[in-house]
Amino acid sequence: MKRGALIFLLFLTGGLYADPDPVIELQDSVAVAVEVLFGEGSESKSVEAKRTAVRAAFEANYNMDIIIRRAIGRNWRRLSEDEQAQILELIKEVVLKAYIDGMDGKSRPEISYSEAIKNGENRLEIPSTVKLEGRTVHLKYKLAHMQSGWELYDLIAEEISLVSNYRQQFDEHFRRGTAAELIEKLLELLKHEKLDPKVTL
Amino acid sequence: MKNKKIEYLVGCFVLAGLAAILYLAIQVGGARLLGGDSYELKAQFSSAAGVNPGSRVEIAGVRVGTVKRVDLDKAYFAMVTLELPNSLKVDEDTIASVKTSGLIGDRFIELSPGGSDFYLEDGGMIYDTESALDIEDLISRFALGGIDGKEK
Repeated sequence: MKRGALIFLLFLTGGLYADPDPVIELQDSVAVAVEVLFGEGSESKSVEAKRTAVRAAFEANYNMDIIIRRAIGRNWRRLSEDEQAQILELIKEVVLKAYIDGMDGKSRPEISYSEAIKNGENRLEIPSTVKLEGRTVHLKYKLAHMQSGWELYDLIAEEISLVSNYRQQFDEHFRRGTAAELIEKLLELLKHEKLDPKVTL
Repeated sequence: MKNKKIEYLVGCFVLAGLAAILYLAIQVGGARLLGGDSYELKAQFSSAAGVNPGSRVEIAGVRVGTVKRVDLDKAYFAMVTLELPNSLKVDEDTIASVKTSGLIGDRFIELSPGGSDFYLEDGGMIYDTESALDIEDLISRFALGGIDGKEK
């Protein structure tokens, strides 16, 4: 989960988007998330308030379940409905916690977008560059047009896919472990006051 | 009359023999007869270096199919056509990656099954792909850093 959390961290730093113009929607969502963390008065906001606001910024346009479910991959069918709902919620919380904690004390990132690349009728890739703390990371947002509109389904940072990276870890976990053990691990991670953005499963 | 009957039987025997040889050739060659029991999927890669027709397609290290064709598409990406058995259902969110057997082994395609419950049909496209890790590129990035000179 190490690299995955880092990618997600950079993702919200770098952008989000959906229907009328998916590129503008993505840029707006990212801008809102960045504003929550680095805008005026952000220092006085509690971590909890920031987490809620960043989540709302993302969920206003995108369904986080899609990207998490893709990351869980084939293991999704092994879970009961209760476990699915619980794991989805816990992963969202862990990733957001890692993101907020990871951005704490950092300077505002510079984000620039390149022209979107159409991949078939219903797929779009939006490349971006994020400059954060003197480092430059190339981030690509993958969107697909679904029944609910344009949804973000993967993030590629320096050619490493967030979904693929997490899927490998979930596959490895479920090869030996159970859903209950995964839930336990995620709850344990949430108990930590400060979460390392490079958190692993 | 009797000769005609014998000739007819010999002709049938020869035809049956030819049909048997044809069937054997098709089976040994791995080709299909009258539709067969496999279907094709396509996957687009930024680089399919080392992947050739006949390369393995694996899931969890188990061979499940073969690469049928590798072409260059209109956008100059590699379009790889995979041949898979009908018995294998592939979800729409499956990830196809170019992998290498060992350090310098053959390249093959690894499929990481998804869980979307929407299955790809014959001629369908796997959109989520990963090209092989380019060691030379990684070394050059590590050695030379990023273009802004701060990643060294």
